[in-house]
Amino acid sequence: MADSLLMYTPSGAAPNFDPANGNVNEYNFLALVYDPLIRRMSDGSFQPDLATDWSYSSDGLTFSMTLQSGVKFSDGTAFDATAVKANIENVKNGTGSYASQFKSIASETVVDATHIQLTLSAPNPSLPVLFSTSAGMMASPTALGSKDLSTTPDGTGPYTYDAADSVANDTLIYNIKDDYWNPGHYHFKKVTLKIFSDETAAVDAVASGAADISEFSTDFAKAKSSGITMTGATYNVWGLGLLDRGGSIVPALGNVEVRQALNYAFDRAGVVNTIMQGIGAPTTQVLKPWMEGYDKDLDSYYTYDVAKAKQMLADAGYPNGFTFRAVSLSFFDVEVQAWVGFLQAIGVTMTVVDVSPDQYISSITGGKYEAAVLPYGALDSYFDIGQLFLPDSSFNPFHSSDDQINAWYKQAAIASATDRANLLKQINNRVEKDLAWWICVNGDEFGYGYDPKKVQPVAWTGLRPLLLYDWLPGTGA
Amino acid sequence: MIGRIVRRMLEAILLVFLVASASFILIQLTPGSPADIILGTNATLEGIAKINHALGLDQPLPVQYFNYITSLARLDLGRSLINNQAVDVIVVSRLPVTMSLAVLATIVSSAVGILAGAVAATHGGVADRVITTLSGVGLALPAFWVGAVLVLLLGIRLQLLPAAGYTQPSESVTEWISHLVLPVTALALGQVAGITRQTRGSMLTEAEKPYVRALMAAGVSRRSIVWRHMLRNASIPVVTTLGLQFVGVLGGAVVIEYLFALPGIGTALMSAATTHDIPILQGLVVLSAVVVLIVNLVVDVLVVFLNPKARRA
Repeated sequence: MADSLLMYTPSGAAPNFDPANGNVNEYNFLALVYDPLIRRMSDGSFQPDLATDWSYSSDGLTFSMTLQSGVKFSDGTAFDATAVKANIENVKNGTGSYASQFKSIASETVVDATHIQLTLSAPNPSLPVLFSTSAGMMASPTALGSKDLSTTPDGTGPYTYDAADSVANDTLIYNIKDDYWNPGHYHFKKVTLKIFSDETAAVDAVASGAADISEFSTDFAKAKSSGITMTGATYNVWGLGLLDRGGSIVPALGNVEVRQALNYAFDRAGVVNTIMQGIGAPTTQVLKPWMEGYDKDLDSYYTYDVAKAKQMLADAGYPNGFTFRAVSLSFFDVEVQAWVGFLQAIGVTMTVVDVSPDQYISSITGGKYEAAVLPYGALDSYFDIGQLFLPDSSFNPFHSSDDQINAWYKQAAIASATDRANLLKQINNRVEKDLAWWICVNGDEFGYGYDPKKVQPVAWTGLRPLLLYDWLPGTGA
Repeated sequence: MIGRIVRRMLEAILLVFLVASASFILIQLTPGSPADIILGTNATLEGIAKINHALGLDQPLPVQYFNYITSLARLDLGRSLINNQAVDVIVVSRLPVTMSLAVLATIVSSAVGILAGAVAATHGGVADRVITTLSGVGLALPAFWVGAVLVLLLGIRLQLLPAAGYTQPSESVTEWISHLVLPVTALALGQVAGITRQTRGSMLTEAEKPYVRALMAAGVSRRSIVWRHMLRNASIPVVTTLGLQFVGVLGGAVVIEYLFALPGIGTALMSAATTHDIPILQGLVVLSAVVVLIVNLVVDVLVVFLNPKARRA
């Protein structure tokens, strides 16, 4: 086992060690001290962890799990079905980001110490994905509800958090446990996670050897041009969500031909080649190539055709264009201003409203704006379509509803894997072609710079971010 | 002198209260909520309302203000709204980093600046012109630019010093120093220039005073006149400048900490501002005010010590 690993990791805020309050940015911080019920590998497959087996009933309304035995939390409490029930209730009743997604779990029945059944109010095929996130991480039931859990973790995970040597909200140090019940996933005796706000400092840290790994997202191109060893994959799909599909604020957006016309105004290849400096790929769908429901043919459906866009607008009754607002963040400006230019060329004025990060998501979900710039990082097709395109989806604040999409989504909940993929593909096509609810422009790249002498990543498609157990000792170890 | 110090301390308490109140009002005026950050892509209005209620952010402003001021009076700076971390823990872990940076930058800049200023004033000619020109260049170069160049050259190209990060002195003193060399240099360069010019100007003024001619006539060595007598008298405005510059260094440390990924008060402030973590923001603003007040008090005491006239005032 290698001695240590130092990783720079961006984080919107310092991690909260209560798994119920964790979000996707904090996974690595939590995964070192907690184990999830299900472990998702870098190729998307699921492996047993604290749950050794799981299955759905034929009607999709019961989810059963078999649990590990003989595992204990840091405080000595035994891990069992009662602990799982307590953790699920903690997430459901809490104020964390996953609370709303656990609402479909109506109740939990402890069958015995190593078996639990979840009764669902509606079929939800995404439970294995959910239980592989921080929401599926198990904390000691005696610590749940205590405010101390936010700063002092109490889990079954492979490392102990060294609060004494750590710097609060900046540098978190973890040391491997000699008696960890599930050895083999982690390969470093000591892990230091440093939170950074500026990717320039992160590039410098890896380039100078001060850090072994760093994540890069907003400045991937710059990191790539710095000469450090990189691994990347498409992560976010940059898109303009046309939220006011009913035209309640901007009547023009209520016209599907107008929304389709806007799609033809975007020079997607130009964005990738010039603004993104060749990083990423043009796209017209929110799902990524390896995801269920992705349709390769869809990517060439909307060509760059300004004349066609103008003609379609004129045919729809808007020969002189119209104006609408889109909420955004200021650090999206480099690309978003190009979008403003594309739309101006067809006579449409998009007024970009920049808000601060602590208002951004709520500005979208709150229905204040008719459109939103949103780089969306889909991780699970069924879940993400549920978050974007259903009447009660959080990113559908005007509650646009399409009977076809609703019906297919309902069917997908209990369909076989093959049938589900086809149904999601149908939804994907309908959203983009028939309804033009979401103008997708390009997929960016997210990735990591690393020192190959110290670390090597496992094979990675970008299905999910690389987690710490995806990093192996490097060539010099 | 004791009475003066006591009076200044009482004024300081009032000033801290005013700063705390002003920061509370200003922060409340900015839109946004930490709930957006906590919930991420699940930040629905319902979820935000639930969190705001749990955190007490939906209480009437006078109630929130009263709770804040009474907590402050008990020296309770509160807890992070994001991860419940105690603000005083954050302060205790981060303040030494910022103070190391600021104090070392001030020591380096004052030592180099005073020496350079004295040499420029007493030697004149080529030495004076070179030092004055260099100090002009130093004043013009922004600290973040100097920092970026140092990182590129010494950190990445030549790999002589770490380009980012921080090591606690308890872990390794040599690593601690090596991590601070580049950021301290970046911060100190502009300060050196200011102190050089101030010292030069003060020394030139002292050189014209009758006591200098009297000492020379009495046969006192030039070295003794310059370093024992002139410099002491010239140092009064220099000390005042140092005090002002230290406050400026604290502000400049925010940018330098960001550039070098140092876990100081500056990076904590920036993170708290973008995540709307109100207790951390308010706590660090009050802390900064306290540090500035302490620095001003120390400067006042030093001036009194150096200038007998001030003692009698």
